[in-house]
Amino acid sequence: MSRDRDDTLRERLRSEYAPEPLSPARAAAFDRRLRERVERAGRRSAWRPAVPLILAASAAAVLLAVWLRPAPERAAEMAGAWELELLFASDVDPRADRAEANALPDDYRAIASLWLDE
Amino acid sequence: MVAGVSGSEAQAGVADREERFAAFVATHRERAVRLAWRLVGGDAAAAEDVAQDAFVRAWRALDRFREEARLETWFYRILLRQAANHRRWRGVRERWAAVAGAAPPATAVPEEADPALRRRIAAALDGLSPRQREVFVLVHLEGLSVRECAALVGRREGTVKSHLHRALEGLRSQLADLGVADGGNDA
Repeated sequence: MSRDRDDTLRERLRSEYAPEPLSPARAAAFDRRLRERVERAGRRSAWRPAVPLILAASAAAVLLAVWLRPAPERAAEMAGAWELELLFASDVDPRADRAEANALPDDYRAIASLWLDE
Repeated sequence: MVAGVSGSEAQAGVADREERFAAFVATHRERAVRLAWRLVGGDAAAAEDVAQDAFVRAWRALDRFREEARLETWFYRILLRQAANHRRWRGVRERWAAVAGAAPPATAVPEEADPALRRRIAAALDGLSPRQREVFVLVHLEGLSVRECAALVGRREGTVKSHLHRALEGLRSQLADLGVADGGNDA
């Protein structure tokens, strides 16, 4: 009795719970959409072999940029050296100053002598 | 010496592949859409999407399967997975819509069918676990044998039988009136 009821239930579900068969127009629309999707997938997959190459090139460029950039410690060291040089620079050497003054034209030298009491 | 593939041979290969795929689609289109429709809860648009996704994957994998039977098994496995993914995402969308206070997406039901009865059946199937629903649809609605179903879902035959038993119990409790030989009350 229960088995018969189960069979009837299954049969009703099979017949009632089913979509309408695809009409020829719907089947054609389905095929057309599928063809478009397959073509799109094909175009995407044409790029796929190049992806590892692009990734490898990008990684190499990043590594190269990191390698060429001066290390932060060295940059700080260089900046420190300039600062020290400015801080402990010796007084102006009068001989060098004189040699520089001799290189000036006569008019300028006369003016300089007035101002510098030479 | 490795023989090169000439342009005409390559073109013939492409044509052969396309022909094989077209034949595969023509053979399985109706069944794939029907199975997807039953698995996603009677939504025709979603069923076609799920079937299309599975066919696109089959196209990509066509060269891996020279035997039609293996391609078929693989294809229906993909279809089951796609349908399960669809249900999962629909569940997330529905929960989100409930939180946001929006109306849940409606399921399209063809005009020729009895919408109320189909909704009842869909709701009863929805109450089953995903695995119970899958095996019930495959065996009792699609007509696969227990062995074929077990191969498809990757479970032992005993497990499939157990799922079937529990599924039938669940449906019997909710759709008892459909088990009456004269049709009972559909609404």
